[in-house]
Amino acid sequence: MEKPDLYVVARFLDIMFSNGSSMKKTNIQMLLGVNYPRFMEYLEWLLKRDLVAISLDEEGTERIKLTPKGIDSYHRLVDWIKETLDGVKI
Amino acid sequence: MNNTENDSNRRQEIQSSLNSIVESSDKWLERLRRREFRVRLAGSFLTGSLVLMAVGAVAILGFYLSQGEEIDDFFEQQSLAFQFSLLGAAAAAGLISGILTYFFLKRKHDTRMKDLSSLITEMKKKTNEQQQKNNANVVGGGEGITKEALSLAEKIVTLLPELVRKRKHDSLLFGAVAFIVTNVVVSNLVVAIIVGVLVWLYVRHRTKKSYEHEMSKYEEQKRVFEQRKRDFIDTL
Repeated sequence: MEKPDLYVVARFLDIMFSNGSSMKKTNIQMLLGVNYPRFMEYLEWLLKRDLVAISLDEEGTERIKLTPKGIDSYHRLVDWIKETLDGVKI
Repeated sequence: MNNTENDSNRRQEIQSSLNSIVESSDKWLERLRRREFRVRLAGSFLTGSLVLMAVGAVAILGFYLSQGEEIDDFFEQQSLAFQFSLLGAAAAAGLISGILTYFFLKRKHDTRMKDLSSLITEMKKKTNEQQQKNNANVVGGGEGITKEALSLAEKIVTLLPELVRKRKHDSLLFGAVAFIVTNVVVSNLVVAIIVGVLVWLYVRHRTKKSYEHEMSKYEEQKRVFEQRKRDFIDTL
């Protein structure tokens, strides 16, 4: 994937942050509202940048979790939106 | 401080920023609504007054021309009931057109704000749900508001230059309202014209003074927003 959509990345980070714990791929994909191949592209993109990490649970199922770098990026995104909205006056 | 505490603090900071986003969005929408309401009232008052005067003038002119008399003689010959009914008809036409203008403008404004309003409602709903889950110590199942907030910020930075452009026409509206109010209060057309023109020029001067500055500020804000959107992805 060359240039990911910021809205999808934001939503991905949002879902991971709001859910707190690690999540199954299918659950994230459902909440994200994109098809599976598209979801996998985004997941790989985020994995490559260490924003999320994969681990295995006791049943051997893959779980996705937000890394500290992911939380930091999400924090930056939220602060930037807050700053933008605080800065607009009419 | 260990990692868990650090993580928990960071999560609290983010949550507080998210709550603050919802608050600022709500306040922003409220300010926009108040502004649109003022414009609606002035617009309706102006339309109502113009229709009242136009209907009155046309009716008087019509009767006057049809009877071919001097205007003073014409009024002397008419009963008080006729004069009141003429005034009543003009007032009713003015009132109805004023009300219709108000609702027409409201519909127009509501359509423009529908997207913003529904985004903010959605954000509030999600934040409340998240808050309830946090209070009940429930983990998971939450939905964030970042996508909506991002979309809202984008809509706002696009809408602001449009609003400033529209504000340029407000001076004429305020001048016209000043003219009508003065004419009703003082009953002197010359004074009303002078006051109307003065108000128009004053509001125009003030708007013009701030227009260039505000437009460049908002255009810059929009440009920075687009740039940061691109940069954010690149810095990940």
